[in-house]
Amino acid sequence: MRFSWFFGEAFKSMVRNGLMTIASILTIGLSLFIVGLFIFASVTINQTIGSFEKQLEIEVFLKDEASPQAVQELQDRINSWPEVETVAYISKEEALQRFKQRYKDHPELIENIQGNPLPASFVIRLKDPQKVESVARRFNGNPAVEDVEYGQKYVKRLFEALNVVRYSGFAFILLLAFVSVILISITIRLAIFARRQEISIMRLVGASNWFIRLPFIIEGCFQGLLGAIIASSAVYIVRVTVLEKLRSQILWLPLNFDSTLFWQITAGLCIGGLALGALGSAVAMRRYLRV
Amino acid sequence: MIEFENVTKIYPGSKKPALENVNLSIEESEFVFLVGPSGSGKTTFIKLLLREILPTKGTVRVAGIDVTKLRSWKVPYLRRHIGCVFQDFKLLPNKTAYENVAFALEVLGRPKRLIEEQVMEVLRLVGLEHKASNFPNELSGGEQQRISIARAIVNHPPILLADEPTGNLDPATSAELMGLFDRINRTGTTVVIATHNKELVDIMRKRVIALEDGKIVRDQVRGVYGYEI
Repeated sequence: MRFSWFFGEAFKSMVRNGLMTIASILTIGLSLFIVGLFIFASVTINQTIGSFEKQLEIEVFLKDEASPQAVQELQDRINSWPEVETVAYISKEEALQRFKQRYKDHPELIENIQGNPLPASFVIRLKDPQKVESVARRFNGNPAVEDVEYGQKYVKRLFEALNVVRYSGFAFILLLAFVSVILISITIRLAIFARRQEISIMRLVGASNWFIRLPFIIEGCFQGLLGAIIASSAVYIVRVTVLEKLRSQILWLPLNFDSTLFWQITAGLCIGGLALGALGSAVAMRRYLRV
Repeated sequence: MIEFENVTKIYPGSKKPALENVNLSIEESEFVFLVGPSGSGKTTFIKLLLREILPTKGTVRVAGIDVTKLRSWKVPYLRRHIGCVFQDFKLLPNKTAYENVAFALEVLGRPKRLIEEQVMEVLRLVGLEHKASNFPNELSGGEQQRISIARAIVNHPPILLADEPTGNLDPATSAELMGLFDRINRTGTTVVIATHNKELVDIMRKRVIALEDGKIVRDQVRGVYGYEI
Protein backbone atom coordinates (compact mmCIF):
# COMPACT_ATOMS: atom_id res chain seq x y z
CA MET A 1 0.00 0.00 0.00
CA ARG A 2 2.87 2.35 0.89
CA PHE A 3 4.62 1.33 -2.28
CA SER A 4 1.63 2.19 -4.42
CA TRP A 5 1.64 5.61 -2.77
CA PHE A 6 5.23 6.19 -3.91
CA PHE A 7 4.27 5.18 -7.43
CA GLY A 8 1.31 7.53 -7.31
CA GLU A 9 3.55 10.37 -6.13
CA ALA A 10 6.05 9.69 -8.92
CA PHE A 11 3.35 9.56 -11.56
CA LYS A 12 1.60 12.73 -10.36
CA SER A 13 4.85 14.63 -10.29
CA MET A 14 5.70 13.52 -13.83
CA VAL A 15 2.37 14.76 -15.12
CA ARG A 16 2.61 18.05 -13.24
CA ASN A 17 6.19 18.64 -14.35
CA GLY A 18 5.02 17.75 -17.85
CA LEU A 19 7.44 19.78 -19.92
CA MET A 20 10.47 18.75 -17.89
CA THR A 21 9.39 15.12 -18.05
CA ILE A 22 8.99 15.23 -21.83
CA ALA A 23 12.37 16.91 -22.24
CA SER A 24 14.08 14.26 -20.12
CA ILE A 25 12.37 11.38 -21.90
CA LEU A 26 13.28 12.79 -25.32
CA THR A 27 16.91 13.35 -24.37
CA ILE A 28 17.19 9.83 -23.00
CA GLY A 29 15.33 8.45 -26.03
CA LEU A 30 17.53 10.22 -28.58
CA SER A 31 20.79 9.30 -26.87
CA LEU A 32 19.80 5.66 -26.55
CA PHE A 33 18.51 5.64 -30.13
CA ILE A 34 21.88 6.68 -31.51
CA VAL A 35 23.69 4.10 -29.40
CA GLY A 36 21.17 1.40 -30.34
CA LEU A 37 21.32 2.24 -34.02
CA PHE A 38 25.10 2.02 -34.11
CA ILE A 39 25.14 -1.22 -32.19
CA PHE A 40 22.66 -2.59 -34.72
CA ALA A 41 24.67 -1.32 -37.68
CA SER A 42 27.97 -2.50 -36.33
CA VAL A 43 26.73 -5.99 -35.47
CA THR A 44 25.14 -6.27 -38.91
CA ILE A 45 28.37 -5.19 -40.59
CA ASN A 46 30.33 -7.66 -38.49
CA GLN A 47 28.00 -10.47 -39.47
CA THR A 48 28.37 -9.49 -43.10
CA ILE A 49 32.14 -9.46 -42.79
CA GLY A 50 31.94 -12.81 -41.05
CA SER A 51 29.96 -14.33 -43.90
CA PHE A 52 32.54 -13.00 -46.37
CA GLU A 53 35.28 -14.59 -44.38
CA LYS A 54 33.45 -17.86 -44.17
CA GLN A 55 33.75 -18.12 -47.94
CA LEU A 56 37.49 -18.22 -47.67
CA GLU A 57 38.81 -21.67 -48.52
CA ILE A 58 42.13 -23.41 -48.67
CA GLU A 59 42.56 -25.49 -51.80
CA VAL A 60 45.22 -28.16 -51.55
CA PHE A 61 46.14 -29.54 -54.98
CA LEU A 62 47.45 -33.06 -54.96
CA LYS A 63 50.12 -34.59 -57.12
CA ASP A 64 48.79 -37.03 -59.72
CA GLU A 65 51.30 -39.62 -58.67
CA ALA A 66 50.32 -39.51 -54.97
CA SER A 67 49.14 -42.93 -53.82
CA PRO A 68 45.54 -43.34 -52.60
CA GLN A 69 46.87 -44.31 -49.17
CA ALA A 70 48.90 -41.12 -48.94
CA VAL A 71 45.81 -39.12 -49.95
CA GLN A 72 43.67 -40.92 -47.40
CA GLU A 73 46.28 -40.37 -44.70
CA LEU A 74 46.42 -36.69 -45.51
CA GLN A 75 42.64 -36.36 -45.33
CA ASP A 76 42.59 -38.05 -41.92
CA ARG A 77 45.27 -35.73 -40.70
CA ILE A 78 43.39 -32.63 -41.90
CA ASN A 79 40.24 -33.92 -40.23
CA SER A 80 42.06 -34.27 -36.94
CA TRP A 81 43.00 -30.55 -36.80
CA PRO A 82 40.71 -28.64 -34.42
CA GLU A 83 40.63 -25.52 -36.64
CA VAL A 84 38.98 -27.36 -39.50
CA GLU A 85 35.28 -27.08 -40.08
CA THR A 86 34.87 -29.13 -43.29
CA VAL A 87 37.09 -30.97 -45.74
CA ALA A 88 35.88 -31.95 -49.18
CA TYR A 89 37.81 -34.21 -51.53
CA ILE A 90 37.52 -33.33 -55.18
CA SER A 91 38.80 -36.02 -57.53
CA LYS A 92 40.34 -35.33 -60.93
CA GLU A 93 37.05 -36.27 -62.63
CA GLU A 94 35.00 -33.98 -60.42
CA ALA A 95 37.44 -31.16 -61.06
CA LEU A 96 37.02 -31.66 -64.81
CA GLN A 97 33.23 -31.75 -64.49
CA ARG A 98 33.30 -28.49 -62.56
CA PHE A 99 35.61 -26.92 -65.10
CA LYS A 100 33.27 -27.89 -67.93
CA GLN A 101 30.29 -26.66 -66.04
CA ARG A 102 31.91 -23.32 -65.32
CA TYR A 103 33.01 -22.67 -68.90
CA LYS A 104 30.06 -24.14 -70.77
CA ASP A 105 29.61 -20.80 -72.51
CA HIS A 106 33.09 -21.06 -73.97
CA PRO A 107 33.13 -24.40 -75.82
CA GLU A 108 36.46 -23.53 -77.48
CA LEU A 109 38.16 -23.80 -74.06
CA ILE A 110 36.67 -27.19 -73.35
CA GLU A 111 37.41 -28.62 -76.80
CA ASN A 112 41.09 -27.84 -76.41
CA ILE A 113 41.45 -29.96 -73.31
CA GLN A 114 43.25 -33.19 -73.92
CA GLY A 115 42.87 -35.90 -71.34
CA ASN A 116 42.47 -34.50 -67.79
CA PRO A 117 45.13 -31.99 -66.83
CA LEU A 118 43.34 -30.95 -63.64
CA PRO A 119 44.66 -32.19 -60.26
CA ALA A 120 42.61 -33.69 -57.45
CA SER A 121 42.29 -31.44 -54.42
CA PHE A 122 41.05 -30.91 -50.91
CA VAL A 123 38.84 -27.89 -50.20
CA ILE A 124 39.12 -26.91 -46.56
CA ARG A 125 36.95 -24.47 -44.62
CA LEU A 126 38.05 -23.28 -41.20
CA LYS A 127 36.06 -22.43 -38.11
CA ASP A 128 38.09 -19.25 -37.76
CA PRO A 129 39.01 -18.00 -41.24
CA GLN A 130 41.70 -15.72 -39.76
CA LYS A 131 43.86 -18.85 -39.20
CA VAL A 132 43.99 -19.61 -42.93
CA GLU A 133 47.63 -18.74 -43.32
CA SER A 134 48.98 -20.84 -40.47
CA VAL A 135 46.94 -23.85 -41.54
CA ALA A 136 48.02 -23.54 -45.16
CA ARG A 137 51.67 -23.45 -44.13
CA ARG A 138 51.41 -26.98 -42.70
CA PHE A 139 51.27 -28.41 -46.24
CA ASN A 140 54.73 -27.08 -47.07
CA GLY A 141 56.99 -29.93 -48.12
CA ASN A 142 54.30 -32.58 -48.05
CA PRO A 143 55.22 -35.10 -50.78
CA ALA A 144 51.61 -35.64 -51.87
CA VAL A 145 50.91 -31.92 -52.29
CA GLU A 146 51.58 -30.09 -55.51
CA ASP A 147 50.41 -26.61 -54.48
CA VAL A 148 48.29 -24.71 -51.91
CA GLU A 149 46.02 -21.87 -52.88
CA TYR A 150 44.21 -19.56 -50.41
CA GLY A 151 44.51 -16.10 -51.89
CA GLN A 152 47.98 -15.57 -50.38
CA LYS A 153 48.34 -12.22 -52.08
CA TYR A 154 45.31 -10.44 -50.65
CA VAL A 155 44.15 -12.42 -47.63
CA LYS A 156 46.45 -10.73 -45.13
CA ARG A 157 45.47 -7.22 -46.14
CA LEU A 158 41.82 -8.17 -46.29
CA PHE A 159 41.92 -9.35 -42.71
CA GLU A 160 43.75 -6.23 -41.64
CA ALA A 161 41.12 -4.04 -43.24
CA LEU A 162 38.25 -6.06 -41.81
CA ASN A 163 39.74 -5.93 -38.34
CA VAL A 164 40.08 -2.16 -38.58
CA VAL A 165 36.37 -1.94 -39.45
CA ARG A 166 35.50 -4.26 -36.58
CA TYR A 167 37.51 -2.62 -33.84
CA SER A 168 36.84 0.95 -34.88
CA GLY A 169 33.11 0.14 -34.89
CA PHE A 170 33.45 -1.22 -31.38
CA ALA A 171 35.45 1.81 -30.22
CA PHE A 172 32.91 4.15 -31.78
CA ILE A 173 30.07 2.45 -29.94
CA LEU A 174 31.95 2.75 -26.66
CA LEU A 175 32.49 6.44 -27.32
CA LEU A 176 28.81 6.97 -28.18
CA ALA A 177 27.70 5.07 -25.10
CA PHE A 178 30.00 7.21 -22.97
CA VAL A 179 28.67 10.43 -24.51
CA SER A 180 25.07 9.39 -24.02
CA VAL A 181 25.63 8.40 -20.40
CA ILE A 182 27.07 11.88 -19.78
CA LEU A 183 24.22 13.53 -21.67
CA ILE A 184 21.54 11.61 -19.80
CA SER A 185 23.07 12.21 -16.40
CA ILE A 186 23.37 15.94 -17.11
CA THR A 187 19.70 16.06 -18.11
CA ILE A 188 18.64 14.29 -14.93
CA ARG A 189 20.93 16.50 -12.88
CA LEU A 190 19.32 19.62 -14.35
CA ALA A 191 15.82 18.29 -13.76
CA ILE A 192 16.62 17.62 -10.12
CA PHE A 193 18.47 20.91 -9.75
CA ALA A 194 15.25 22.63 -10.84
CA ARG A 195 13.48 20.88 -7.99
CA ARG A 196 16.09 21.30 -5.24
CA GLN A 197 13.77 23.70 -3.42
CA GLU A 198 11.14 21.00 -3.32
CA ILE A 199 13.62 18.56 -1.81
CA SER A 200 14.67 21.02 0.90
CA ILE A 201 11.02 21.73 1.76
CA MET A 202 10.32 18.01 2.09
CA ARG A 203 13.27 17.76 4.46
CA LEU A 204 11.97 20.63 6.56
CA VAL A 205 8.60 18.95 6.91
CA GLY A 206 10.35 15.92 8.35
CA ALA A 207 10.51 13.55 5.40
CA SER A 208 13.28 10.97 5.72
CA ASN A 209 15.79 10.78 2.91
CA TRP A 210 14.36 7.58 1.48
CA PHE A 211 10.88 8.99 1.61
CA ILE A 212 12.03 11.86 -0.59
CA ARG A 213 14.29 9.76 -2.78
CA LEU A 214 11.98 6.93 -3.72
CA PRO A 215 9.47 8.85 -5.88
CA PHE A 216 12.34 10.60 -7.67
CA ILE A 217 14.03 7.28 -8.38
CA ILE A 218 10.79 5.74 -9.61
CA GLU A 219 10.38 8.76 -11.85
CA GLY A 220 13.91 8.30 -13.16
CA CYS A 221 13.28 4.61 -13.87
CA PHE A 222 10.08 5.38 -15.69
CA GLN A 223 11.63 8.12 -17.79
CA GLY A 224 14.61 5.91 -18.62
CA LEU A 225 12.31 3.07 -19.62
CA LEU A 226 10.10 5.29 -21.76
CA GLY A 227 13.20 6.76 -23.42
CA ALA A 228 14.47 3.24 -24.14
CA ILE A 229 11.13 2.25 -25.66
CA ILE A 230 11.21 5.32 -27.91
CA ALA A 231 14.80 4.50 -28.88
CA SER A 232 14.01 0.85 -29.68
CA SER A 233 10.96 1.81 -31.71
CA ALA A 234 13.08 4.25 -33.70
CA VAL A 235 15.72 1.57 -34.31
CA TYR A 236 12.96 -0.75 -35.48
CA ILE A 237 11.57 1.87 -37.86
CA VAL A 238 15.03 2.48 -39.33
CA ARG A 239 15.46 -1.26 -39.71
CA VAL A 240 12.25 -1.86 -41.64
CA THR A 241 12.53 1.24 -43.81
CA VAL A 242 16.10 2.20 -44.61
CA LEU A 243 17.89 -1.11 -44.15
CA GLU A 244 15.30 -3.27 -45.89
CA LYS A 245 15.48 -0.97 -48.87
CA LEU A 246 19.26 -1.18 -48.80
CA ARG A 247 19.11 -4.96 -48.78
CA SER A 248 16.74 -5.15 -51.74
CA GLN A 249 19.03 -2.86 -53.73
CA ILE A 250 22.39 -4.40 -52.90
CA LEU A 251 21.70 -8.04 -53.58
CA TRP A 252 25.30 -9.19 -53.56
CA LEU A 253 25.70 -8.05 -49.94
CA PRO A 254 24.67 -10.90 -47.68
CA LEU A 255 22.98 -8.48 -45.22
CA ASN A 256 21.33 -10.41 -42.51
CA PHE A 257 18.86 -8.76 -40.13
CA ASP A 258 18.38 -10.80 -37.11
CA SER A 259 15.23 -10.23 -35.09
CA THR A 260 16.93 -11.76 -32.05
CA LEU A 261 19.54 -9.03 -32.41
CA PHE A 262 16.77 -6.42 -32.37
CA TRP A 263 15.27 -7.85 -29.19
CA GLN A 264 18.69 -8.06 -27.58
CA ILE A 265 19.29 -4.41 -28.35
CA THR A 266 15.83 -3.51 -27.03
CA ALA A 267 16.48 -5.39 -23.80
CA GLY A 268 19.89 -3.76 -23.49
CA LEU A 269 18.50 -0.27 -24.02
CA CYS A 270 15.70 -0.86 -21.50
CA ILE A 271 18.10 -2.11 -18.85
CA GLY A 272 20.45 0.77 -19.63
CA GLY A 273 17.63 3.31 -19.49
CA LEU A 274 16.32 1.96 -16.19
CA ALA A 275 19.73 1.88 -14.60
CA LEU A 276 20.71 5.34 -15.83
CA GLY A 277 17.38 6.81 -14.73
CA ALA A 278 17.54 5.31 -11.25
CA LEU A 279 21.25 5.84 -10.64
CA GLY A 280 21.26 9.28 -12.24
CA SER A 281 18.42 10.44 -9.99
CA ALA A 282 19.96 8.95 -6.86
CA VAL A 283 23.36 10.48 -7.55
CA ALA A 284 21.97 13.86 -8.57
CA MET A 285 19.89 14.05 -5.37
CA ARG A 286 22.77 13.26 -3.06
CA ARG A 287 23.95 16.82 -2.59
CA TYR A 288 20.48 18.13 -1.80
CA LEU A 289 19.84 15.45 0.80
CA ARG A 290 22.94 16.21 2.83
CA VAL A 291 22.18 17.61 6.26
CA MET B 1 10.73 22.62 25.73
CA ILE B 2 13.61 24.61 24.19
CA GLU B 3 16.95 25.12 25.92
CA PHE B 4 20.09 26.95 24.81
CA GLU B 5 23.19 26.48 26.93
CA ASN B 6 26.21 28.73 26.20
CA VAL B 7 25.46 28.55 22.51
CA THR B 8 27.87 30.26 20.14
CA LYS B 9 27.66 30.03 16.38
CA ILE B 10 30.40 31.31 14.11
CA TYR B 11 29.82 30.74 10.40
CA PRO B 12 32.84 29.51 8.50
CA GLY B 13 34.69 32.39 6.91
CA SER B 14 33.38 35.01 9.30
CA LYS B 15 35.09 36.27 12.44
CA LYS B 16 32.10 37.80 14.21
CA PRO B 17 29.82 35.23 15.86
CA ALA B 18 26.20 35.16 14.63
CA LEU B 19 25.18 34.08 18.13
CA GLU B 20 27.41 34.57 21.16
CA ASN B 21 27.07 32.70 24.42
CA VAL B 22 23.29 32.51 24.37
CA ASN B 23 21.50 30.98 27.37
CA LEU B 24 17.74 30.72 27.47
CA SER B 25 14.92 28.39 28.23
CA ILE B 26 11.41 28.35 26.77
CA GLU B 27 8.82 26.34 28.66
CA GLU B 28 6.01 24.20 27.33
CA SER B 29 3.04 26.11 25.84
CA GLU B 30 4.83 29.47 26.00
CA PHE B 31 4.31 32.10 23.30
CA VAL B 32 7.58 33.87 22.48
CA PHE B 33 8.53 36.65 20.10
CA LEU B 34 12.11 36.79 18.94
CA VAL B 35 12.86 40.35 17.86
CA GLY B 36 15.86 42.29 16.66
CA PRO B 37 17.23 44.05 13.61
CA SER B 38 18.41 42.18 10.53
CA GLY B 39 21.62 40.28 11.18
CA SER B 40 20.97 40.06 14.92
CA GLY B 41 20.87 36.27 14.85
CA LYS B 42 17.14 35.45 14.70
CA THR B 43 17.40 33.19 11.68
CA THR B 44 20.51 31.50 13.10
CA PHE B 45 18.47 30.80 16.23
CA ILE B 46 15.70 29.14 14.19
CA LYS B 47 18.16 27.16 12.06
CA LEU B 48 19.82 25.80 15.18
CA LEU B 49 16.46 24.61 16.49
CA LEU B 50 15.78 22.79 13.22
CA ARG B 51 19.33 21.47 13.11
CA GLU B 52 19.84 22.97 9.71
CA ILE B 53 23.15 24.04 11.24
CA LEU B 54 25.16 22.96 14.27
CA PRO B 55 26.45 25.36 16.98
CA THR B 56 30.17 26.05 17.18
CA LYS B 57 29.95 25.74 20.98
CA GLY B 58 27.26 24.88 23.50
CA THR B 59 24.17 22.66 23.62
CA VAL B 60 20.71 23.02 22.06
CA ARG B 61 17.90 20.90 23.44
CA VAL B 62 14.52 20.69 21.72
CA ALA B 63 11.64 18.63 23.11
CA GLY B 64 14.10 16.72 25.27
CA ILE B 65 16.43 15.90 22.34
CA ASP B 66 20.04 17.10 22.39
CA VAL B 67 20.15 18.46 18.87
CA THR B 68 23.93 18.76 18.81
CA LYS B 69 24.36 15.03 19.35
CA LEU B 70 21.67 13.97 16.90
CA ARG B 71 22.76 11.70 14.06
CA SER B 72 22.02 13.25 10.69
CA TRP B 73 19.67 10.47 9.57
CA LYS B 74 17.56 11.10 12.68
CA VAL B 75 17.06 14.78 11.86
CA PRO B 76 13.73 14.13 10.06
CA TYR B 77 12.38 12.65 13.31
CA LEU B 78 13.35 15.81 15.21
CA ARG B 79 11.57 17.91 12.63
CA ARG B 80 8.37 15.99 13.08
CA HIS B 81 8.25 17.54 16.57
CA ILE B 82 8.55 21.04 15.16
CA GLY B 83 6.02 22.70 12.89
CA CYS B 84 7.65 25.35 10.68
CA VAL B 85 6.33 28.47 9.02
CA PHE B 86 8.51 30.68 6.82
CA GLN B 87 8.38 34.12 5.30
CA ASP B 88 8.33 32.61 1.79
CA PHE B 89 5.76 29.93 2.76
CA LYS B 90 7.85 27.07 1.29
CA LEU B 91 4.89 25.22 -0.16
CA LEU B 92 5.51 22.48 -2.71
CA PRO B 93 4.58 24.15 -6.02
CA ASN B 94 3.38 20.97 -7.73
CA LYS B 95 1.05 19.90 -4.96
CA THR B 96 -2.40 21.22 -4.18
CA ALA B 97 -3.16 22.92 -0.87
CA TYR B 98 -4.63 19.64 0.38
CA GLU B 99 -1.60 17.60 -0.73
CA ASN B 100 0.81 20.08 0.83
CA VAL B 101 -0.84 19.69 4.21
CA ALA B 102 -1.28 15.95 3.78
CA PHE B 103 2.43 15.54 3.02
CA ALA B 104 3.34 16.22 6.68
CA LEU B 105 1.18 13.23 7.64
CA GLU B 106 2.24 10.98 4.79
CA VAL B 107 5.79 11.41 6.04
CA LEU B 108 4.61 9.75 9.25
CA GLY B 109 3.00 6.88 7.34
CA ARG B 110 -0.52 7.60 8.59
CA PRO B 111 -3.38 5.72 6.92
CA LYS B 112 -5.19 7.49 4.12
CA ARG B 113 -8.54 7.82 5.88
CA LEU B 114 -6.99 9.43 8.95
CA ILE B 115 -4.99 11.82 6.77
CA GLU B 116 -8.13 12.93 4.98
CA GLU B 117 -9.93 13.58 8.25
CA GLN B 118 -7.10 15.52 9.88
CA VAL B 119 -6.23 17.57 6.82
CA MET B 120 -9.81 18.71 6.30
CA GLU B 121 -10.09 19.53 9.99
CA VAL B 122 -6.99 21.72 9.96
CA LEU B 123 -8.00 23.36 6.67
CA ARG B 124 -11.29 24.29 8.36
CA LEU B 125 -9.31 25.71 11.27
CA VAL B 126 -7.39 28.06 8.95
CA GLY B 127 -10.57 28.73 6.98
CA LEU B 128 -9.44 27.36 3.62
CA GLU B 129 -11.32 24.10 3.16
CA HIS B 130 -12.83 25.51 -0.04
CA LYS B 131 -9.33 25.98 -1.53
CA ALA B 132 -8.18 22.43 -0.87
CA SER B 133 -7.66 21.54 -4.52
CA ASN B 134 -5.97 24.80 -5.54
CA PHE B 135 -2.27 24.95 -6.29
CA PRO B 136 -0.11 27.44 -4.34
CA ASN B 137 0.20 29.82 -7.31
CA GLU B 138 -3.59 30.10 -7.36
CA LEU B 139 -3.68 31.36 -3.76
CA SER B 140 -3.00 34.80 -2.30
CA GLY B 141 -0.01 35.35 -0.01
CA GLY B 142 -2.16 35.22 3.10
CA GLU B 143 -3.86 32.06 1.94
CA GLN B 144 -0.53 30.43 1.17
CA GLN B 145 0.73 31.30 4.62
CA ARG B 146 -2.41 29.83 6.19
CA ILE B 147 -1.83 26.63 4.23
CA SER B 148 1.74 26.51 5.46
CA ILE B 149 0.50 27.01 9.03
CA ALA B 150 -2.01 24.21 8.49
CA ARG B 151 0.83 21.97 7.32
CA ALA B 152 2.94 22.94 10.34
CA ILE B 153 0.30 21.99 12.89
CA VAL B 154 -1.55 19.10 11.22
CA ASN B 155 0.47 16.45 13.08
CA HIS B 156 0.07 18.32 16.42
CA PRO B 157 3.76 19.05 17.05
CA PRO B 158 4.68 20.30 20.52
CA ILE B 159 6.51 23.28 18.99
CA LEU B 160 5.54 25.74 16.25
CA LEU B 161 8.37 27.85 14.81
CA ALA B 162 7.76 30.81 12.55
CA ASP B 163 10.47 32.83 10.81
CA GLU B 164 9.07 36.23 9.73
CA PRO B 165 5.66 34.71 8.98
CA THR B 166 4.11 38.08 8.19
CA GLY B 167 7.09 39.49 6.29
CA ASN B 168 5.32 39.34 2.92
CA LEU B 169 1.79 40.09 4.06
CA ASP B 170 -0.36 43.21 4.57
CA PRO B 171 -1.24 44.39 8.12
CA ALA B 172 -4.81 43.05 8.16
CA THR B 173 -3.75 39.60 7.03
CA SER B 174 -0.87 39.68 9.49
CA ALA B 175 -3.19 40.43 12.39
CA GLU B 176 -5.45 37.59 11.30
CA LEU B 177 -2.49 35.19 11.29
CA MET B 178 -1.47 36.30 14.78
CA GLY B 179 -4.96 35.40 15.95
CA LEU B 180 -4.43 31.98 14.44
CA PHE B 181 -1.06 31.55 16.18
CA ASP B 182 -2.70 32.55 19.47
CA ARG B 183 -5.41 29.92 19.04
CA ILE B 184 -2.80 27.27 18.27
CA ASN B 185 -0.86 28.33 21.36
CA ARG B 186 -3.98 27.89 23.51
CA THR B 187 -4.11 24.20 22.58
CA GLY B 188 -0.81 23.78 24.42
CA THR B 189 1.61 24.23 21.54
CA THR B 190 4.81 26.15 22.25
CA VAL B 191 4.98 29.00 19.71
CA VAL B 192 8.19 30.83 18.77
CA ILE B 193 7.92 33.68 16.25
CA ALA B 194 10.88 35.60 14.88
CA THR B 195 9.59 38.91 13.57
CA HIS B 196 10.15 42.51 12.58
CA ASN B 197 6.50 43.39 12.97
CA LYS B 198 6.38 46.00 15.75
CA GLU B 199 2.61 46.56 15.92
CA LEU B 200 1.82 42.88 16.28
CA VAL B 201 4.37 42.33 19.03
CA ASP B 202 3.05 45.36 20.86
CA ILE B 203 -0.59 44.25 20.59
CA MET B 204 0.00 40.64 21.62
CA ARG B 205 1.91 41.44 24.86
CA LYS B 206 3.69 38.10 25.01
CA ARG B 207 7.21 37.17 26.12
CA VAL B 208 9.74 39.07 24.00
CA ILE B 209 13.36 38.03 23.57
CA ALA B 210 15.43 40.73 21.89
CA LEU B 211 18.64 39.88 20.06
CA GLU B 212 21.34 42.32 19.03
CA ASP B 213 24.64 41.38 17.44
CA GLY B 214 24.12 37.78 18.44
CA LYS B 215 23.46 38.50 22.13
CA ILE B 216 20.25 38.54 24.14
CA VAL B 217 19.81 42.12 25.25
CA ARG B 218 16.33 41.83 26.72
CA ASP B 219 13.93 39.11 27.85
CA GLN B 220 10.55 40.40 29.08
CA VAL B 221 7.56 38.35 30.14
CA ARG B 222 4.93 40.71 28.71
CA GLY B 223 7.10 42.78 26.44
CA VAL B 224 6.89 45.15 23.54
CA TYR B 225 8.97 45.37 20.37
CA GLY B 226 11.06 48.18 21.84
CA TYR B 227 12.86 49.38 18.73
CA GLU B 228 12.09 52.30 16.53
CA ILE B 229 11.73 51.19 12.94
